[in-house]
Amino acid sequence: MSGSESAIRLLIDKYERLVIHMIARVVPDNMDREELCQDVFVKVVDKLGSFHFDSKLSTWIATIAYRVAVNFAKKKKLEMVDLDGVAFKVGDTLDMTEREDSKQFILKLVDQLPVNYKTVLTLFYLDGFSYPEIVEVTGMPEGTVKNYIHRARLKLKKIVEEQAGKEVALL
Amino acid sequence: MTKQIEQLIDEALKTEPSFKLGGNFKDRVVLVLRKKEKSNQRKLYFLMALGMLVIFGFGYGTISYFLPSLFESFSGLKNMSDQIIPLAVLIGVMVIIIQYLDKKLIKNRMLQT
Repeated sequence: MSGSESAIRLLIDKYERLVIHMIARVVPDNMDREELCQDVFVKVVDKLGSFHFDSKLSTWIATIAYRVAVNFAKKKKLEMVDLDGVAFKVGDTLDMTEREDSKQFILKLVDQLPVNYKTVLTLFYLDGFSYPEIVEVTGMPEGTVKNYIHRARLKLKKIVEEQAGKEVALL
Repeated sequence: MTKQIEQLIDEALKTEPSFKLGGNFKDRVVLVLRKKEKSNQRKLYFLMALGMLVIFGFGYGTISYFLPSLFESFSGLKNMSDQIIPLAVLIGVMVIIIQYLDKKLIKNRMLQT
């Protein structure tokens, strides 16, 4: 263990961002996030012997993080339904001239997306995974992955346009 | 306007979550792994001891069955083989089955999650 301890620390250094992305986008509470990130790395080290370089290490670690996040979401009964079933809480009108506020507005909408949409968007935009890699991580068909990304973007765009329109009307 | 919104959506989706791991995160992971390693070692030693006990019990039972004359001079040992050793063998086999099921059903399921 002492010899591999430094290797474990290096592994965490290299892949913590990837694990944080997946966990933090799905899990709302910081304490749960910390605990789940720990679970992910414990599982990664435990199962490292079964990793045979069939895929990239990052894809393999993302798969473990994805399963941990999704299992947590199921346990806590977080939103797993389809996009059409979500009633988005939009809040205040959107001022498009304030770039940072607009981004925060969109991120609040992203938080309300169903878990499977959030995970796919995170892998695609934050981690730069390709479609085949996302298929490997999530086990979803490629068509579903593309569809989720397309529909989520469309939904976000529609809400932002509506809110930005309201702001213009108020002026 | 539409292009501006699309750019904003792209930027927002590429924004890093503000959450950061605690300063001692790596230490905690290493600690959990150390504890796990120790627990696995203890289990292994226990199983090895149990295995030796089962082998001894099986050997003793077999000898006392096929060569009863060998133990006739040790009447105390013979009584032991009649009562305690079969029980020890039975308990040993049950513990091994439980350990096997624990590994197959529970741990494998945990690893899949």
